[in-house]
Amino acid sequence: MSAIACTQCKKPLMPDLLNTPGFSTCNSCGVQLKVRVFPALYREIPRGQGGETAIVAEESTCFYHPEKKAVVPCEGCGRFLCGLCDMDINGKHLCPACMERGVKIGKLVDLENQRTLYDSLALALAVWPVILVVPVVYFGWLTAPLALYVSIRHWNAPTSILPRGKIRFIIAIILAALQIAVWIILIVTLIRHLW
Amino acid sequence: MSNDHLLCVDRQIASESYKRFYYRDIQAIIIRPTNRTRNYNIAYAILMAIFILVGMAIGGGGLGFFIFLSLVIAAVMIVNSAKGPCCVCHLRTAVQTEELPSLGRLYNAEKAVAMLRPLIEQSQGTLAAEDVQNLAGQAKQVSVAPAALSYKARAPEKLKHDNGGLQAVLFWMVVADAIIYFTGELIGETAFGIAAPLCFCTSLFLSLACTIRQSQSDLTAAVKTTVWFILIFLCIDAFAVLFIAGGVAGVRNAERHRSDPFEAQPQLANFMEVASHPVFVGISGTVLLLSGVYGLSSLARFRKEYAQSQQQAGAALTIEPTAPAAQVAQAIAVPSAAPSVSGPMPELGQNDVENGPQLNTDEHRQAP
Repeated sequence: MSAIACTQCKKPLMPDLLNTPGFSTCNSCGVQLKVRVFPALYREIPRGQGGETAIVAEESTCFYHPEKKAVVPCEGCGRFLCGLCDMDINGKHLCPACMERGVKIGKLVDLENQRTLYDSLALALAVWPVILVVPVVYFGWLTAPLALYVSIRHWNAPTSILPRGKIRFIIAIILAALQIAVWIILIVTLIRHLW
Repeated sequence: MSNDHLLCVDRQIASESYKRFYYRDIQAIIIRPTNRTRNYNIAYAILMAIFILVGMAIGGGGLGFFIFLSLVIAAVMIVNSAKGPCCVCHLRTAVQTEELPSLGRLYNAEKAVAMLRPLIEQSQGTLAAEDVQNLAGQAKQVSVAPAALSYKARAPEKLKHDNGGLQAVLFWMVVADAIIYFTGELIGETAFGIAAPLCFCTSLFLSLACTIRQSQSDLTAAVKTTVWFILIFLCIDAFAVLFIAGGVAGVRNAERHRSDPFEAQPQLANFMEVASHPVFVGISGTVLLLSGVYGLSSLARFRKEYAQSQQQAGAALTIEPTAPAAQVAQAIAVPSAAPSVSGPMPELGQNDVENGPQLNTDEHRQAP
């Protein structure tokens, strides 16, 4: 078991400060805290499986560790795995290579830890030059088509993991189209004026 | 919130990163209230006051615009207050303690904990306050898990001794700055125009250097706080001069030089006009003088206390000269007659403490 530390002074808190109905005061720094602890705090962390050594020559062995006894086949590639290589992901047994591939192609949603938000990117490209007046003069002609391209190219790409619609893409397209239209009108007027 | 885990989403401009905390692994949720709401409100109030002052200085149509800006800030301040007090919420597992930035308001954090609690208890079981006491009693030796503290977990770092030389230079410079402000009339406009910005910039640079240097030093809180106060005050001072002078001069010059936009730009004379204004000089000079003097006195007190503590430490290490030489030698030297004992040290009983340990030398000689 390990003690809960105060998040301000990092000193261990006394047990009587835990799971109290209201706020309690840290015995070291005097800061107010509300600490809710759960049984996992007092639970021993189970040791990981090490992989059993194969004794008989005919025994099935791990693809990655030929000296270790195989315990389960990989559900991705079918290779035999020892206890060390077996990766249990929500009841699915995978080898490290399949797991890595699954994360890369985004098939293992439970292991996904980053996502690019193309809708936010398109919106930023369309809005920022409008808000910052100076770049609209110099970069508006570049960012507006870029915002349009990103919106159309990544229309079907997954957005945030939290539910949200395509509203950002729509606003980006409208703003970018407006900016492009303004640029075209300006250029046409300038050409007419010059000729 | 999922049925088996909590998803922490950290959003940047165009990307998101995720952290999953499974309910079975969550050991604790810690909420610590902070003063962020109050601090933000103070900052908003200062900004509002500056806008109103600038508006009043400009007058006419400018006043309306700046009052509108102040009202916008007032609305933000009301929303900030209505959202309630701020807090920092940490979630602890066996291997990490993560801050949950989305739970920055006390109301939201408590609501989230109330929602999470049944889910976690469904996964792990319940734990009452009495159970915590009993379990803590069962655990004979409570140790702080290094991993649990590792997010900022260093053991308290040893503070380096700092004599406060740089801070002393800063405090003297600030006093000099204040004197220049007060004697601006006497020294002349040109000398004031050179000395005041020079002193100001040096003080600003020194205060920055001091804040970096003092972070791990053993200087007293009074000295450190004074340095921080000077830095913040100088920043506000600079902001006030640049912003008010720039704003006022911009509007005034625009009216005067409508045909020449270059002339309408704020000139150096406009900044000097604000910097040498009696109200500005009075406030800045007084605050700087007081903070400089207070800093110097705090530093002197710190140095005196440090010298005293060093003297005391030195006295504790020194052996009293009145003690006989044989007694001193006996205290220092290991008794040659005493047999060397290997293995675990015997525990001392109450009699041993009173009479000294009784070592059976015969038994020791018989031992192989």
